[in-house]
Amino acid sequence: MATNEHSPLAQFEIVRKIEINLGGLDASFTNSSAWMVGIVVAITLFLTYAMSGRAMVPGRMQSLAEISYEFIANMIRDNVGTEGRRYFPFIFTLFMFILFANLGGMLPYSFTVTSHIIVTFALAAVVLTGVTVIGFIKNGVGFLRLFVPSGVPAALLPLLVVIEVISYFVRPVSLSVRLFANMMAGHTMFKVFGGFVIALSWWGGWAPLLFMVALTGLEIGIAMLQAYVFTILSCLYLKDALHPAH
Amino acid sequence: MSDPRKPSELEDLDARLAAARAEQRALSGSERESEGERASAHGWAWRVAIEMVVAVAVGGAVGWYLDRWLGTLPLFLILLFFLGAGAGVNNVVRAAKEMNRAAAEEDARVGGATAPPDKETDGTGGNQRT
Repeated sequence: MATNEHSPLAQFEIVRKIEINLGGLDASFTNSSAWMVGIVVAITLFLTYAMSGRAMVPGRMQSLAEISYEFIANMIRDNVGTEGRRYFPFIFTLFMFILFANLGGMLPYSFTVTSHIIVTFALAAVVLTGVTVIGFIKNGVGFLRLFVPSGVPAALLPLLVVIEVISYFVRPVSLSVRLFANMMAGHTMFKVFGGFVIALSWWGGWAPLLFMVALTGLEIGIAMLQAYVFTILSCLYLKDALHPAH
Repeated sequence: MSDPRKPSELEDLDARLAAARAEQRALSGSERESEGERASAHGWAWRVAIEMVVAVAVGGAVGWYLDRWLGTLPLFLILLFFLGAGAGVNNVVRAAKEMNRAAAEEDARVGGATAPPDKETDGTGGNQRT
């Protein structure tokens, strides 16, 4: 694909930094991998630095860390219940990873990890596989009650079971498409309007420039909102696994 | 020395905080409320729209691959397209139920005094399958 440097899609290009070939499998360390490592390092540094003071009255950084913690803890309590508490580490990691990936993508010259569907789909697949396994461990075969809606006439039951099964398997796709589409659309729009600023130069470039300022605010909001949506939906799917009865 | 002063200082702070909060609420309360509501409405809109589109697309794609594999071209494509649409509606209805539940909880948290009257009745009335 001959994307030149100024194409709005050039920002999504994967570049191999270190070529690794595992028996015909391309496992190269790419710019995407580098950003993911960077995100994990940034989260670790942020949380350890913010909590290093352990003050009774938190400062700014400690407040940020505590707000993130309480936000996810409340989300799990409200949406999953008290038995969801043991899954807190996973949900919190998921939220922080997506949040930092989305917000990191807002930095100039950065690469947005979550604008690639394979990344978001991998995240969603891990969530849905994990939730399914938890459902079978907690409820055994009773987990399959999730696919049988209650109070349905027997004649309609086969059709509805098929529909329920399909909607269950559609979940990882819709979960990943939502995050990826939001991120990719927003960042493409940035580059397109950035191109307008240059193309219209002195006399007309101000209008798209003003629009981009507004768009930046909106995109930061979307970055946080989509991290929230991904996490809360994971919580709701976890609740389904713990209480499969309709 | 500071013991007798501390409670009064705290009370003073309490009073000032309450006054400032009331003022804030009166000034920009409604404005901020709508701002937050708009953001979450945007999120819900995306959620419902993508739920619907993806279900139909996945149904169609699975049907097409099944057909290509089994050589029965229009059969499973048509069947799974409609089943996918059904699954999409099913997921949208589920999302709407969650929205209702969240809205009801939000109203309960905000308090009965300011709860809008229309939210009390909505529940999940229309969504129960028969």
